[in-house]
Amino acid sequence: MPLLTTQSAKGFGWGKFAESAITSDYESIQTITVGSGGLRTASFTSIPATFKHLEIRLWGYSNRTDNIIDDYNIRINGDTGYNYSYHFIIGEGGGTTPSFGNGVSVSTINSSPCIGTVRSGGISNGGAIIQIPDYANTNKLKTLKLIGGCDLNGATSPAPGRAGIVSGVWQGSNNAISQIDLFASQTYNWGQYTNIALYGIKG
Amino acid sequence: MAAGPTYVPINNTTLSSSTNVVTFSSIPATYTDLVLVCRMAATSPAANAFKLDFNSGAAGSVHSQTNLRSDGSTTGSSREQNEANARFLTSVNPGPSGTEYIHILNYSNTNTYKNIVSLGGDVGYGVEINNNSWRSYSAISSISIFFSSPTGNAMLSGSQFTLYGIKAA
Repeated sequence: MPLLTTQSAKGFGWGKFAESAITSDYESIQTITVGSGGLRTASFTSIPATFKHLEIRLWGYSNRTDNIIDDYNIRINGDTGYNYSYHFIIGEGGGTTPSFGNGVSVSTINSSPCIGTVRSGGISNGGAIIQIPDYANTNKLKTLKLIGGCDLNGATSPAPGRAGIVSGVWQGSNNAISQIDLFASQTYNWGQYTNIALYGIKG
Repeated sequence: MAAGPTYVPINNTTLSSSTNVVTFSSIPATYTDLVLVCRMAATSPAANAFKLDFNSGAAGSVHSQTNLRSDGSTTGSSREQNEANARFLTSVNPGPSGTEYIHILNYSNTNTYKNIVSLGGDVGYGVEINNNSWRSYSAISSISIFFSSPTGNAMLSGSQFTLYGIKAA
């Protein structure tokens, strides 16, 4: 079975399968997969300081039963103080002007691109890629970048979908990041099958 | 505890001639996410909408997409529902011209719909973030890459596409 084909006006051509090459510079650290009971807070703990950067890859939704877009919060090293700031810009479709905003000296970094919520007949969902450079460097504050969005699959409140980007900083200390918590901004749980994976990137 | 290497190239191609459709097939279901890295340009005239088709369209018109974009002078956001394909950059031009990083999350999980996060840009158009949802529980086993219009508009020779698999511990 060919793994790659190209089709053009000149006809078909068969590509060559590239043998997989394993690299050790991008490693899976921990994955949280939510069970049927849901999960209030997804926590990565005891994160080793042996990598250069961190990346979180998230597929998820909150388990409320109405069709509302939830966003979620990111907290570092269990710091509940007002030590976070962030900016965001999001689009919600329909030709609308993108929305933007920020939080200054707040208690979490908010992921305004959101997550979806349960909807009858299907599962709304959100996705995000969160990158945290130089997370183990004890000489500087830690910043992160998030791109992501969600889709309610036809529901319209407050919008049927979002796409956006967030930039944030944790100003609590210069400590290496050893714990990351992610939880919905409302009181809802992460829904079943939510999958949040933490990776380390060597430098 | 680190579980080992996990970011693996599955396949790649650099087009030797202008091509309408590139298809990665027989994608193994052994990873958690896919990443498709695209470096493409269009034959003249500029193409509308860079798109992906999953599993030869077997699931039907079950794609939704929301974007956030700017062409340098204006910003905007648009959306499509119940489409036959996943949609990314609104326009790709002839010339240098476009890049797109497409993250296909949970692509092999048969308990969930799929969410696709992407960030792209085109020298002649602008920048764009897209969030796509594919309302199918099937694992994604093939991906076809193409421009939606004008009819017959092709990807220029030299365009390059690389597919990676990422496996969570």
